[in-house]
Amino acid sequence: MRLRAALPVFLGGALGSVSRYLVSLTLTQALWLTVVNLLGAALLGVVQTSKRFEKPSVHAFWGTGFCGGFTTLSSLITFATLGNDWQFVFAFIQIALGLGAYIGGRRIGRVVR
Amino acid sequence: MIEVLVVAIFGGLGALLRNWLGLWKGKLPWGILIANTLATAVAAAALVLDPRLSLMLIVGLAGGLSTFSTFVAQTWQLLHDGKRVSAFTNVVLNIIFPSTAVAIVVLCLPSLVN
Repeated sequence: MRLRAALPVFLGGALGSVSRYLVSLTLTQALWLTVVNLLGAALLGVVQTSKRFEKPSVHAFWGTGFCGGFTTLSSLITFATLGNDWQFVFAFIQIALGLGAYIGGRRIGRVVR
Repeated sequence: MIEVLVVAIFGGLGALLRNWLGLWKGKLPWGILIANTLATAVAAAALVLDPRLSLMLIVGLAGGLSTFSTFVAQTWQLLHDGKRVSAFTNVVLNIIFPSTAVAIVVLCLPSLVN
C-alpha cells in the first residue's frame, strides 16, 4: 500500500475513532451505538454518491477512514453477545435501520452535489 | 488528552488494517467479514484480559478495524444487484462469526492465561 493512499485512511480512521469515543462518553451504550452507526451509515451513503467526495484521497479519508472508524460492529456484537436476548434483536434492528440510513444518505448525496 | 491520542493512533491503525483486508472480495465481501470478526475477538480478549487495555484495543483498534457503515453499504450493493441470498447471508455471517468469536474468547481465554 502506497503511503499516499494509506495516509487519508489512517487519519480519517483516527478522527472517526476519536469522534466515536467522545460520543460514547456522553450516552448509554445502546444509544451511542445507534447514533454512531446510523449517522456513519448515512454519511457513507453521501460520500459514495456526492461529487464533492469523488477525489480519491477525500473519498478514502471520509469513506473508508472516517465512516469506517466512526461506526463499529465489534462493540455492537460484543454488546449483543454478552447481553440478553433483547440485545440481539437490537443488533438486527440496528442493521435494518442502518440500511435505511445508508439509502437516505445516498439520496442526499445525489441531491447535494 | 492522552486518551484521545491512544484512540486516534489505534483507531487509525485499525482502519489501515481494515482497508487492506477489505480488498478481499468474492461472492461475498469476505475481507470486511474477517475484519469485523477479528475486531470483535480482539475486543472480547481485551475485556477478559485487562480493563486497562480497553481504550487501546476496544475503542481504538477494534473500533477502527470493524465497520458498520461499509458492511451496510456492501449489503445494500448485493441487494441492489439482485443477490438477495448473498445479502442475507452477509448479514447473518456478520452476526454469527463475530458473536461466535466472542463466545470462544470469553470461554477459552481465561483458562489459557491462568
